[in-house]
Amino acid sequence: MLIKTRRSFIRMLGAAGVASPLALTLGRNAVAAPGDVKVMFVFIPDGVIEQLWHPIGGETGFTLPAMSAPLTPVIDDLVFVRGLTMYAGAPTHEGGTAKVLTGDGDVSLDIFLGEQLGGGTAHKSVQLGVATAFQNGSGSVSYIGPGQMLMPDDNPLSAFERIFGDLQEPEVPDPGPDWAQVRSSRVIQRSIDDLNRLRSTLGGTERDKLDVHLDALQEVEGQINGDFANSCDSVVWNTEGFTVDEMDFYPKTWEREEHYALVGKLQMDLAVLALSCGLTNVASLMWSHAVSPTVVPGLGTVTPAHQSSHYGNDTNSSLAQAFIAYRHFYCEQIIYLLQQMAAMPSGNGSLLDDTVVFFCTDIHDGNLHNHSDMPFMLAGRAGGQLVTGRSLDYRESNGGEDEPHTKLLVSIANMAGVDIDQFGYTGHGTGGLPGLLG
Amino acid sequence: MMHGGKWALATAMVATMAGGCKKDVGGFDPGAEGGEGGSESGTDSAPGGGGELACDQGSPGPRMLRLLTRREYAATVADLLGVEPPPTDLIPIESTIAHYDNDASAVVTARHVDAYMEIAADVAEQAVEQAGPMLVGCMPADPECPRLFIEELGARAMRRPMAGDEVDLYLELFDPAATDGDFYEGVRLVIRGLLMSPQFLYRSELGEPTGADGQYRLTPYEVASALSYGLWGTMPDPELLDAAASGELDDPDGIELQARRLLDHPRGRTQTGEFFIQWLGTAPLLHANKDAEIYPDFSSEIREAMAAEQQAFVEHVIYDGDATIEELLRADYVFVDDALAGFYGLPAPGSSTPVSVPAGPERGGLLTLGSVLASHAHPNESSPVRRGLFVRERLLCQIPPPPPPDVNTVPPELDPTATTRERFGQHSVDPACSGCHRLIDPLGFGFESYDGVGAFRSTENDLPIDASGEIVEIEQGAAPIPFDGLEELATQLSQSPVTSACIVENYVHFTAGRPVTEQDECTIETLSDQLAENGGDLHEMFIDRVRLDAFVIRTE
Repeated sequence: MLIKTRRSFIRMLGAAGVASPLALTLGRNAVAAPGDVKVMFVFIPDGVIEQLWHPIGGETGFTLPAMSAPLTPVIDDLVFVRGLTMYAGAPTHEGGTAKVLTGDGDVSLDIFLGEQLGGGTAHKSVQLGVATAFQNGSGSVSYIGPGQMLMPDDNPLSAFERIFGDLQEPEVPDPGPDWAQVRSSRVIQRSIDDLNRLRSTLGGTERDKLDVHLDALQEVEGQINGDFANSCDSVVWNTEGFTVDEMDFYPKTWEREEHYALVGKLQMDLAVLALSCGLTNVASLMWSHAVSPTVVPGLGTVTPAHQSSHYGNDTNSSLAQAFIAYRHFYCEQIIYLLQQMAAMPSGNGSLLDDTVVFFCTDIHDGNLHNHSDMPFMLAGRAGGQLVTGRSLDYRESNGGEDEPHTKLLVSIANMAGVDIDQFGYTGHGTGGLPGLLG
Repeated sequence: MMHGGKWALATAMVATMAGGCKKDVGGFDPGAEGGEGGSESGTDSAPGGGGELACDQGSPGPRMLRLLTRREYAATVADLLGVEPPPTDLIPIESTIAHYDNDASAVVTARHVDAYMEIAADVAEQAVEQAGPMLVGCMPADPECPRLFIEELGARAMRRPMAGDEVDLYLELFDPAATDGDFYEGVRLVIRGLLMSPQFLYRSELGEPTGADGQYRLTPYEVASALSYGLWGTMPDPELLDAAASGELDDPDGIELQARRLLDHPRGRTQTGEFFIQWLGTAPLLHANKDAEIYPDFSSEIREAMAAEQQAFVEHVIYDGDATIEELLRADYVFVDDALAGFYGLPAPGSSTPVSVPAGPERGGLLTLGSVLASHAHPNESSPVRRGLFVRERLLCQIPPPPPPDVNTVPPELDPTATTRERFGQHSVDPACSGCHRLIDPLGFGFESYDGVGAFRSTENDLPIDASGEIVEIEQGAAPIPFDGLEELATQLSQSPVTSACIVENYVHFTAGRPVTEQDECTIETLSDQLAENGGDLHEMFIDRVRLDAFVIRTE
């Protein structure tokens, strides 16, 4: 039993009585200011089949081939971006994971933007995962600093408690002291005092290390003290009643293949809620991990995802069919996520209107095993900055070579109102991606 | 100072590989070395910065505030409070560096803080519930009791006596405005507070200025923690803290006395096993993805038996055997239980725990451990590349660069008419690959008698196994050393000074929590020399490591 602070009000309802998975009862204290653009990163492992994924046709009026076809209903919410290369770093699955959000630099864009945009939110950024540590995992897209990978939180229940643990309790007449809050606050204040005492004796890198620690303490202190605004009085989540069996030593309950889709749904719901309630401006979600060993039940294949990605140059092979089935599964998840974001009010429209979502992966084509012509997508309108329903092709558009994906990272930061002109690798130039924004 | 020894050979190798494979290598900057190899530049950079230590006292390097790993944290909480080790699922998984989980640069994020808060609250509750008044060595009615309690628990939590103003800081947690007048609530809050203290969460190796430029000496209490976390993976016990207090740890003989006690304690044996797990990269074994259709016999039971085999083998060699690299690599016995004996095709010893049996012709030594073979292989096949890299990187400390960006790194497709060795032949043909793979694959081919989960095979797809190979450039300029099978490879490796320097290097990484750099040259060289003088006794190398002045001195 873990002691919970100010969390008793959170209702984890059973399935009965709530029809829509995200039927929120949102009492909104505030709404996001127009132009307050949020960012979400979604990682889907192991790439695609080149000729079955990339759109066919021009910038508009294009169609989707077999592997991406299920996205047709949400095509107007998406921007397909091809022809970007992830230069530098290692040309492997793990190397792709490490550089897709860092651009081969030290810090990943989710962490960086969290630092830039998170000052007024309870959480600078949240990193959620779906079985990212299953079978030892193969790394994270999130990096705090050089070599400092931050693995996502794979347990949706603990992630929910962490993210929503700081919501205000409803007003009750003369409730008396909130002892749990008073005590946690005292404890963390001691920790901050002790840290400051130690920090004052240090210089250089050790002081930097404690600065990061201090930021983290202050973030949690703010949560405990209720310093941060949030716009949700209460939320409904996990209507499916997912629970964790403490006896599941390995794999953990949340890593088990039979729960893969549900855990993914809970993490998507959680990300949408966290963004929508103003608890964070930056969320990342990693599905599985590169070289994914996961077998998603119900797809008509028992071949693990990564194994199917080595489909052997024959797009009709049974491996290719399995690989397509995995990507179709992820297309459904993308559609679900976008629908939830579209249904969530925000600013002058929906959360989807106020957000830019980056769908990324670690490799281009599972069989070619390359980092050129990456199958990236954006979604959301970024507060009106991003025109969706487009397909953009950057192959050989940088002096005969592919544009670097780091320009896309710059553009994402710019859409979020963070004025940078380079992020990570700059070997093929700086600035945002030409022609992406108006 | 002369540095012409074995360590220089390993560094020189880096320069060679940098030439052959182009990109930068490991923690070294080939550009900075010019074309001269490692030994020259190593001589130029005076060890210790201040130049105070003779090379035979090792080379002091940077030391840090070291965040407890999840394993260290759980063990420390348990030892501190007499509770069960708390679950650490909430704490973000460490990022590893070359398989080592104890990166001294690790930082605390908000997720860590949240996890530490939750665990601390839970553990405080448990500790008070379990021990009640016994937890506090004084009467609650005594007005001095809160202070006494904090001093006693704090000195163990911080692994050193607390300063007066530190005690005052935590005394505020007995404030009735926080406890509502409940003494034991104050006890709980102090436990929570101390478990959140940076002085608990990090162990300091920062030391105090020695007077020499840029040089610091670890305090006796920091030395005690360096010993206990290095040799036990947890906090110092009372005897070690007493040794720190009495000045016993102020000289190498006193340090050695305590180090021997720790190293030979059951906890020391477990921690020695942990070093081997991280060095050999076998932690993935238990959860590694393996294709159940291809390897139906590779059950959880077999995985656990392999992990138990490795621990039993390592403990036997280090504590009951010769503790030599020779025995590690060439032992003529294996530790198996009945299940693993069946998997290895050996007679069942009639035991459900690993016991020593004659190895027979197919097994023996570290390279044939099931844990090593299964960890360094693909889910559905062996892997000459991964196993070759295992030898190159983990046993020889020569780190090839990643493949160039424009090559296809997909393993060749499974082919029922060919052996793995035949399918990987492209590496020796394609010049984009062969520059580095000539250093890797011929080592890995020596492992081909063992499939992707470590079972022995004499044929693959009805074709005979060819386990011949060669060690290309074990040292700079060295002629290729041909071998056939793992027994011959093990023999060659066990005779090379490069291997012994590499084990030393790995142990220094494990205990320092950071990769070895050129700055550590004197430490590696001295320990390697001492290892040779000791007849290759690794148990004594672990002791020599903490006897070096470099163990208690740090530089910027």
